[in-house]
Amino acid sequence: MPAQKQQRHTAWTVFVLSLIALIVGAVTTVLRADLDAGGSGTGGSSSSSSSLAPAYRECSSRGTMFEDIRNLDEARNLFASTMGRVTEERQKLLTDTSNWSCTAATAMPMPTLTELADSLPAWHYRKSNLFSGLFGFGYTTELRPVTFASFSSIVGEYLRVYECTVAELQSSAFVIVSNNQDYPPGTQFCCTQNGCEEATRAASLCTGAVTDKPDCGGECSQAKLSMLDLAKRPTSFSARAIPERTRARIAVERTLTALHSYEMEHETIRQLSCAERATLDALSMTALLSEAASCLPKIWDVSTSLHDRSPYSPINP
Amino acid sequence: MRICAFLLWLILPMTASAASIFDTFWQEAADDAYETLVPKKVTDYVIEVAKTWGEDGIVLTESDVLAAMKGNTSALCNGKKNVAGQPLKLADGTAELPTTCRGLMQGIVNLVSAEKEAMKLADDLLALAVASELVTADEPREPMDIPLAVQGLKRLWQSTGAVRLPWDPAADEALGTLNSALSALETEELHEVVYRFHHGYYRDSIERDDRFGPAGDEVESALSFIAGMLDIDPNSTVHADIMTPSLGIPNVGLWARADDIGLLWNVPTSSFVMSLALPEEYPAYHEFGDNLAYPFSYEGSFSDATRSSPLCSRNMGRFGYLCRPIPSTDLDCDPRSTDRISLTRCEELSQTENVSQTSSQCILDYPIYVDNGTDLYDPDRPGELHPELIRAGTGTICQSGATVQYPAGIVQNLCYTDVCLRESMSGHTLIPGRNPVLAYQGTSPQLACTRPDPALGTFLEIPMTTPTPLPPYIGTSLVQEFTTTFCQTTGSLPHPLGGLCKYDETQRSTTFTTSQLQQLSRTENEKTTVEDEQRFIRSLPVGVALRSITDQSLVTHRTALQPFIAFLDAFSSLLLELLQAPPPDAMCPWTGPVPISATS
Repeated sequence: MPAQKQQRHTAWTVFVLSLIALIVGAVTTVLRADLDAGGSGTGGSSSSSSSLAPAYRECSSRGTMFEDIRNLDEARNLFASTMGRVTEERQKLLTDTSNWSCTAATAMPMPTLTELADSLPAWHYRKSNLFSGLFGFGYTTELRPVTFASFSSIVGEYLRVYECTVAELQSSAFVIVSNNQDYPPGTQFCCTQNGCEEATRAASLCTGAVTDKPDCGGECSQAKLSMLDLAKRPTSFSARAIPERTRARIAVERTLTALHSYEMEHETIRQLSCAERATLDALSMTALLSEAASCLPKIWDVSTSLHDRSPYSPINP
Repeated sequence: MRICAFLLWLILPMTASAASIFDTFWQEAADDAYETLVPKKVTDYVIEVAKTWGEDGIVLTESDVLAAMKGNTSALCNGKKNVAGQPLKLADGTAELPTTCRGLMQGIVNLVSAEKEAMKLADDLLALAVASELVTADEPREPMDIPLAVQGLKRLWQSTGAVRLPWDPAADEALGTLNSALSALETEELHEVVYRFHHGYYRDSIERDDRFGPAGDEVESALSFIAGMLDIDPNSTVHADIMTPSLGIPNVGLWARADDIGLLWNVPTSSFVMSLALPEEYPAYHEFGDNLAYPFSYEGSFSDATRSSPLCSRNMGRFGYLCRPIPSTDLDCDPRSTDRISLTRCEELSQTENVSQTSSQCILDYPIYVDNGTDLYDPDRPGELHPELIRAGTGTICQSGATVQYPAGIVQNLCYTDVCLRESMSGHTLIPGRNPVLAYQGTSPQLACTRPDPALGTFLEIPMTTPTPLPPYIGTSLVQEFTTTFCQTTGSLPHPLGGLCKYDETQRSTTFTTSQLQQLSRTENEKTTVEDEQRFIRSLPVGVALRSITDQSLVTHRTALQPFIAFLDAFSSLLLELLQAPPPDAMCPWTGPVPISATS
């Protein structure tokens, strides 16, 4: 019996220790997940976004709006149009007085910026739960707060994602060329006997319909690549990608710099605008006051013991 | 009966062009990023410079410059001629300019790259200037313009200062003509035209800078027509801004005042290069700032001397201390020199007048006028009081049957209230102890609304300097610190004079511990690393400058805004105290039963 008891005791000990280890491990994993993702920050509202992969920060297009884009021009146009929309919204926030509230600290609507932040994996953080703590997966992602002051950070992160996308495309030059994806959007292609080729180059050799799809809509098995193509086009594509990063950085940096004055003085301007509105009320109030004051001599012009109405009074004319 | 006259004071936001400023920067950044895009002025400059290359010069065309940037030597080098028109044979090889084809190409590429880099740095500098002072530039960028906002407040409080006049729809058709003229311009021409009319159409007509080409002639006539429709008079001394509708040109705005009309960039994005020329000596300095905002020695004759400077012609800028120079004083200063900067010791100021007491500083005066049928405002001078107004005499303003008028402003309303109180009180014989406000025949020591306080300055010393302390200038230390950082990063020793160390890759510290072969294989990566670091260094000054801007603006704004905030706070408290005043028991306390305690 003592041996059996000791055996049972050992089993219980192992069980308890395992349970403790499991709990410690789970808690550690939970904490670590939050730490890895930078935590949730302080305050602010957040909304869930389950469509994204778990939050991470890497130099990749994975999980971003550029994930499925393999065309440099397409990526550039998407970046420029998105930045244009976000900047336009920002400028409107900074200059449209109808958005300014003087009576309550209401958050200004920033749907475009929020949408952009929601598309950035790094603007999310992983939220742990007991399940993810126990099994190491099943995290949910939450959007970090998007505030008025977040603009530069979100745009900066978007620029980083775009630069990573361009670098990724640059490193995939051979793959891109072999899929005819180094041509600008709208380029016409057609099938020839050797494969899918750019229609202008193929000229009269087209055997199929002309289309703007780089794979000729699947009519032919592969892109036509000559040795000259393989020698020149990847290098040309790669060289074309380099200035795209430079251009984006210059444009974003100058935009943020130029808006600096607006950003810095926004609160001052807003308060001055509010003061102007309040002053209009004050103007009406003082006008009423002066209107009432015009009656003062009549009100006071009554015969009382205090009033000297003698014509000999030194102060009455 | 009092008749209050109100001046139309429109507070309506001006509309702005919808295009995003990023779109503009995105277009302009293409020139910086893509090597094969060469601004026309740079191309022209290269063509001019090439005429001095070699013994006989080389004649280049625009296509030659483009071919060089694309590395197309066959297109570049065939059929070249010298300035005399004789065929020029360029040898092969990589010898220096201009004896070889490759040397010619490299010379062009180097020159274009240097000029584009200079333009990029100038644009960065402009962006920093924009970041620093766009909203304080006193240009009508409604609503993000502090001077305009202050101007509005000034009008509401004091009913003085510039007024804002509505746009006359009759000028809409002419505005369409202006839009068409601007739309027809190429990008570089648009820059030139906006620059030309930045400080006004009439100012341009006075200045007649012959460096401007004919590109803006149609815009000039359109502006002239609009000026006529809006009754803009260059000799007007009225201070009024005219509200302008937005133009259809992205980032370009129209401004108008009573005395001039012009164009502006809503956000200045790129510095305009008038022309490029070979410097005769290095460093070359070109006088190029006469029609910028700050110089005060402006050519041409102006009927109003204070408007000779563009800065001082603006409706709020004219109040700045730079526009109110201290009258010339006969200072006994020694030594005086004109060719160098030296510390000067002045023995004694011949007069003590300071900036705050110069002529532009109006003494506070809020008169009340007799309403005898004369309009309060001069119909020919918007916002200005009618010259035939007669001041109402003291003691007759609030009398029964008196009709007076004054501008609608908070201060004027309070002044009128004050006058009525004084007149009411002055008609009474007050028993001492019964009324704590005024004793028997006591009267006010002064009437603040009708004449300046004779005791002004007795108790409050007027500072000799401007009340807004300017932040310390830290440019020198910034340059020194940046130079040190730059030189440390690039491996060079910091030069005692800032900005003279250069990047030297051979001196850059390396930590290669691998074999020479591996090191060679890393050459490409090394170049990338160097490029990255150089890019970091290029953006570092922007970051430093932004921090500097923030630090300096905080000091200035804190100083300027704190008194304003304190004033608003006091005014707010005053109004709130009125709510706490106990209402009287009777309509008039002197006609009702006299409380027993009042007789004691």
